[in-house]
Amino acid sequence: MVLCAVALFAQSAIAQSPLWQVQPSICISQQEGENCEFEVDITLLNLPAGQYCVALVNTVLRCATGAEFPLKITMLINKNSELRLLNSAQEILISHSLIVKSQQANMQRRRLRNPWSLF
Amino acid sequence: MRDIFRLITSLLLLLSAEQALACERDEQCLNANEWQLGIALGIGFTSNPLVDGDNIPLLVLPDIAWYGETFYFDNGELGYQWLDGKKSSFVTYLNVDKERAFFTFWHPANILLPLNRFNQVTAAEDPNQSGPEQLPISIDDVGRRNWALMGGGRWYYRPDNAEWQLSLEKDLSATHNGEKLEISYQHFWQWSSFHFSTQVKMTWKSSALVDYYYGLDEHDKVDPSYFYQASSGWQPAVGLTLQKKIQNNWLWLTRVSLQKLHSGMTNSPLVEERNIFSVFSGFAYQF
Repeated sequence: MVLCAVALFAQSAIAQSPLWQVQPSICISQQEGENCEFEVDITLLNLPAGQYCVALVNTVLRCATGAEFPLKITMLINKNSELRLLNSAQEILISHSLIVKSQQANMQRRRLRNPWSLF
Repeated sequence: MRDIFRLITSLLLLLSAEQALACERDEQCLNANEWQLGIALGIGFTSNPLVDGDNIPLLVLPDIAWYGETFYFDNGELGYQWLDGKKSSFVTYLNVDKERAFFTFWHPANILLPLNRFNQVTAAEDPNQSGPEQLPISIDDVGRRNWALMGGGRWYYRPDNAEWQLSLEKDLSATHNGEKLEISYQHFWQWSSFHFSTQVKMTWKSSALVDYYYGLDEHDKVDPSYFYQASSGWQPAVGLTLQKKIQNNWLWLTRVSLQKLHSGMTNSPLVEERNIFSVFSGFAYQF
């Protein structure tokens, strides 16, 4: 009986908490530090109708009503960042990590000659 | 022979199993596949041990390096790194023998050349003034010395804050067919934004190398009484480098070194100094 009550409470909490799906969340750049452009699909789940804004950390990228989702947004990042969903009061409802990976990581090499040793 | 080959192969495999350690000292590290360029402007010189040799001025020091995954170019040396371990490295390389540089900066002799010639003619005509002591060695009479392309192998061993190097190189350009063996120890310190390094080095130069540059024979068109066959020997050297990061890419750089020349070289009539002293101090910018 107690277990059933806990399960029902948990289920209703999940149903009520705002959820979204952001895909993809990893962008692959050629070189480390290079700008990486990628297009993400954003789908809202369990959110009441209303106005929402998608922001890359503190920069708002797009605002739309709940009915306009799913959205496709193109962005440019050069390091790991965070995508945020804001409500009409500009409060953060949910956030999602965006990761940048490079094909060729900058490998550090140890010099084999002393610097400034040409002469 | 087979056993020796097996032993060397096993040793290389064992050493290559070490993981390359991330660079610990900023000035010794760079990004692979990127050029590192720097320029230092200041004042300094390298003394020239040759008779009438002009000191080599050091006013602009470039710093040019590029490292790929295994190939590298670093301040005039082109090399291939066979082993890049935490404590040990092994490279093979090509570079230019710097011995020739002392002959390039022999400016005062060029200026005094007409006077020397006049003295020689006068001495030849006047039997009372004849004698080898009064015949100066002129730059014009000494045969041309060429640059030599050296190729060799160098092994590195790095205990904490220090580095041992052992290298053996040979003239690949058949300029003098000589060899050079070098063993050095360098210690690194850091205090606040100051970086110090001290180096002790012993260099052995073969008789073929020393004789090519500092020996005198019939090719030099000097009086036979000046003929000299230079011999091999060890040359000890000490050096100190100080660097202080100022801001962004600027740093203050000071370098001092002293190399003692061996008697097989200093006994040559072409050589008048027993040491080579080098000093530079200035400001450097790394792009």
